[in-house]
Amino acid sequence: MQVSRQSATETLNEIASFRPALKSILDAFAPLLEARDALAQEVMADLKNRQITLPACQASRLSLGVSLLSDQDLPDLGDSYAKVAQALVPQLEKIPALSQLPTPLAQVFQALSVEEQKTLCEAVCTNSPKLLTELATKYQLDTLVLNLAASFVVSTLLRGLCKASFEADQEKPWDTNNIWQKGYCPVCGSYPVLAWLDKPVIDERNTYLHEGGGRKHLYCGICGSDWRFLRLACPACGVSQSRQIEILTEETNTHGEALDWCTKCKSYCPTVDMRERINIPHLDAQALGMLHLELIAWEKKLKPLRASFWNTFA
Amino acid sequence: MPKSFLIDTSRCTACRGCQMACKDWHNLPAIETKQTGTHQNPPDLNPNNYKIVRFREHKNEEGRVFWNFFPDQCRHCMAPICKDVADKVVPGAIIHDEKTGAVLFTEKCKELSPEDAQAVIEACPYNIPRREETSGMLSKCDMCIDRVTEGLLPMCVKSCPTGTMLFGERSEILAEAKRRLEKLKKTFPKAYLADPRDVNVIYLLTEEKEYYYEYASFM
Repeated sequence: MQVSRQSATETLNEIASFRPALKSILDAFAPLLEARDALAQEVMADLKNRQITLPACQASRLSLGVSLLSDQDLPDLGDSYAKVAQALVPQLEKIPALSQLPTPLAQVFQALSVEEQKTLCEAVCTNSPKLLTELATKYQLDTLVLNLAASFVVSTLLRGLCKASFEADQEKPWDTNNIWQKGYCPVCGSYPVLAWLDKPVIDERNTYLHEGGGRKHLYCGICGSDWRFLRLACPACGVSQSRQIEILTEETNTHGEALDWCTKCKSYCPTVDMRERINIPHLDAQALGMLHLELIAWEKKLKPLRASFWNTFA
Repeated sequence: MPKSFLIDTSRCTACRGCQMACKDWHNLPAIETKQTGTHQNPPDLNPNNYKIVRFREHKNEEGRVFWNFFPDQCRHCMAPICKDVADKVVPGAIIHDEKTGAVLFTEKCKELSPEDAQAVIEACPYNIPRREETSGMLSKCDMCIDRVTEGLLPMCVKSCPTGTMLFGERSEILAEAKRRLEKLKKTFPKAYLADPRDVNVIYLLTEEKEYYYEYASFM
């Protein structure tokens, strides 16, 4: 059965209804997440028209754990970068912390050279503080602020590019024969912001049992790709041993949410179990809605796999 | 658009996982029961069992035995007649949640006299409500409203290991019901959907209702 996929606002509203303490934060980011989704669709249509796609997947590279964009330049996206920045910056500036900056964001994104755009893209994908700090210093911005703004702009472009390159329902090349075994994204190389366990599938050939359910997928918050991953392995250190992964959940109604954390490397990844849910939540909104668990993880001195604006605490 | 269930009886193995999960989630106490010569146990719905799997077997003309299973529960009617009857004496005793489509019995049901409660029970075309004599409370499936409002599946659906029970947006469930019916008709030419226009719990039956349960469908 085709199960509904929620929009960002629907997921955030649902989470706010049972977790009202997060409502103000969730409400603040709803327009931004919606704008990014809409813009990614526009980028996709534009790139499809111009027949611009990601480089072809090579099984040999994937089997060695080399991401698609690793050591490869992004295709020429034309004016998409400027268009996306222009459309997203007003939304970003509605966030109080980004509204009064020494250099307005619009000015920063306008001034970026093509080389700097590439650097920013690389910095976001690799989550490299060094590259970001250099650019942030040049434009008199705080590194965290530039990271937040750049993450939204770059992720919109990469999502559009991925959508233009792969059909939504098509099995992705990295999932074929489980060729991709890594905990980082097979497209952009970022670490995931969320893991999800899938719903069971009704196989008409098996009359009396539904099939599977509970397989683990990792979700990249940058390019929006997801890929299958071993359920009991740590995406960061790749090790899969008995009792290595511990689970952190709420004591009562968990809503299928948990943080899987690795006892070896102390990294964690939020996980949502779709078998509990009526609809498929918007994954970015879902990740944002689990920040209360990330706060507990921070108190326990655990590290997020992917530092994001909602899980970086001071 | 409200939510709906699809109960595809062709896939049900009568494991009664749904029955147990319902009882567990609602913290309903165990009741004393008897073996009455059938696996259907307890024998009927009661204030401590909002859902039971009904069993019925029969032979066809060729002597082949069919054993039908019917996970019985409130249908959460689109226009609940139980509510209309209750509203005449105690408004608010039964409510119809527009968002989910759930028909819910409230604590105000205790204010219904035994005669009025009986009228509510008799009005139900599916023989669902049951009355707890001591408290006067009427009871039945509540669609796990506490779970559904938080985006979670009802317990019976979550626990079903065979794919008999599905839950989701009404339009999607109706589409899936029609798809399954079309497919099932190749094996069971008499298969049909029970009252799909009138209820939010849509049963897919492989043959006439008398081979399941007399209240399996209204039409």
